[in-house]
Amino acid sequence: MIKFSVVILLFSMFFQEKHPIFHKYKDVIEEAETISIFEVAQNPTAQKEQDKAKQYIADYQVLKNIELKENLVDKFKKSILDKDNYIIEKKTCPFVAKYAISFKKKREHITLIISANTCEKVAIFSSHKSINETYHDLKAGNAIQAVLMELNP
Amino acid sequence: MKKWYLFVFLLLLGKTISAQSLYELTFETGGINYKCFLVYFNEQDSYMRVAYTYKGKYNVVNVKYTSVAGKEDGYDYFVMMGSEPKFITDKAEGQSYNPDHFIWIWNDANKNTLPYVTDDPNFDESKMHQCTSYKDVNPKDLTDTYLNEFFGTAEPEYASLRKMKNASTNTNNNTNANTNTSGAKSKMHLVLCINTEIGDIGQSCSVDQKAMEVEFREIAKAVGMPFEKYIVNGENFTKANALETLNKLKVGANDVVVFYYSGHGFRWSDQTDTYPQLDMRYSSYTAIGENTSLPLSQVYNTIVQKGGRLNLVLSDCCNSDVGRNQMTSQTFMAGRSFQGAEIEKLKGLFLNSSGSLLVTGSSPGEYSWCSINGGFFTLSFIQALKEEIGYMRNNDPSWDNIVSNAVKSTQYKAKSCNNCKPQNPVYYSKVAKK
Repeated sequence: MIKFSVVILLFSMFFQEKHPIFHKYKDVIEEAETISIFEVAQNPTAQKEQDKAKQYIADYQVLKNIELKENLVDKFKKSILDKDNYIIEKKTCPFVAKYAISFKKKREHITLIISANTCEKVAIFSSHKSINETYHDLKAGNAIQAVLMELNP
Repeated sequence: MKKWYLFVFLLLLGKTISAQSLYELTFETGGINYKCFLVYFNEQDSYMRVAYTYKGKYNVVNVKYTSVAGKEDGYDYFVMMGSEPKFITDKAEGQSYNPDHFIWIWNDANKNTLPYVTDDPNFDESKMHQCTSYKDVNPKDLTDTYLNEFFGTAEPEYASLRKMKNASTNTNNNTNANTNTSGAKSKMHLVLCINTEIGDIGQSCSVDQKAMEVEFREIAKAVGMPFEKYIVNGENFTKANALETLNKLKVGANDVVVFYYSGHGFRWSDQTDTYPQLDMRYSSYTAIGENTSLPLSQVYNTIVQKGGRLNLVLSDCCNSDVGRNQMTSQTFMAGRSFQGAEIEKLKGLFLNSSGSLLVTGSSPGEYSWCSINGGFFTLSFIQALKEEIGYMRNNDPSWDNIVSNAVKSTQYKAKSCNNCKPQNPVYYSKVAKK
């Protein structure tokens, strides 16, 4: 039986500087001027069906604002950027949106829609095409959802 | 000293596997040339014959292999770990052989690198060597002289490989009369419900579609069955279209119906049925609900009621709680050819079997996992099917064996994947030989 947990290889050049999720745009998160967190509807609403009296983010109706306390900002950014929270394998469960997180830096933005913990996934919408409308799976017990639970118990 | 990095091994083999794949590797270390013949069945079961001459004595050693594959930082890797070395040739007193381990690493820009080999289970850098060659072995090239380099003529593997070579050179091998024991003409219907549009897994589902379509089309061709496919995918991927396709299906009493689903799946929080709900939404803008979900059990019952001889209902999707109760009280009853396959075994499975098989990729409460190479269950099912019909297996083929092996292989893939949770396919089988 293979001992899968640790096999060490030598190819140092294999490591890359680019962030696997946010590519070269992680500074939008690191240096964000505004960070907004919302609880959102489970599914997006097509733009022509949206109620002008209601707030939407990436077509998801905002249900509730969630306050990000100043002392948790660094912890929150760190959890979003920690690549260990993301996995390359995909779960074949349906995405059920729960939270939206928006980072804005001047004219750039990155918005994350986080699926409920019945199906840990994240959808990314951004002003940067290469990462816009990309989907990633989160590992079970990831730090992002843990911080969100802390903010919105 | 070069920096070392930790690779946590993930899963599955990233390419389509034939019934059994044959490869040759050569490498040199310590002034000795090694020539290896690899017979690959699946990630849990492969073996290699290693031939080398040491101090004038010709040696052949059999080494068992298990393997893992995955992707890390943009690089794909595939590792084969050797164990249980056993001398096939006479073993001199005190003679021993440390099993070799092989590592392939590649990416889009660099696809054809030769593998590395080491006999150190700790993968010490100083003990790694690059192989001097690595190639597929065409069954046509399995001459007696070549086989004698690795096998004794009395070994059953030698006979199986000779049989494979003879079949590969016989051009009439794939022409068949499509007559089973009932004597009536039989047709294969392949219904593919594939969520190719959904953002997160659409790409993986497309890979599954292609793989399953190729496998079953080639099987039908190999056994001489007329083949008709019905595809529900793209923006036609809706519950209404799936039901319409199933309802319109005209099935003869001697026909084979294969239904395959790849997409999202779930179960209602208050659901008792073991099998999942198929999530028939191609866009996240559509809300999840009864009108967009199709119980796999309903698909199975609809197909069985058509009265075909053999019904195979397969789904590769999650069976995990969606976090909501069902809103109504409605309930349901409870490019590669088959040159590596023995046609008689295919006939046994597709022409001379009857009954129904229902399989889904995960147990209640579990996720089904996939990668860019496709679903773990789908890959495992195809592997198990091809293995069962290969020349290197001497048992009579059976659907129970295929499903049982697909279950084990799926479990192994999920277990080998560092980030995955356990995945245990569930099935109901009532298939008998005619």
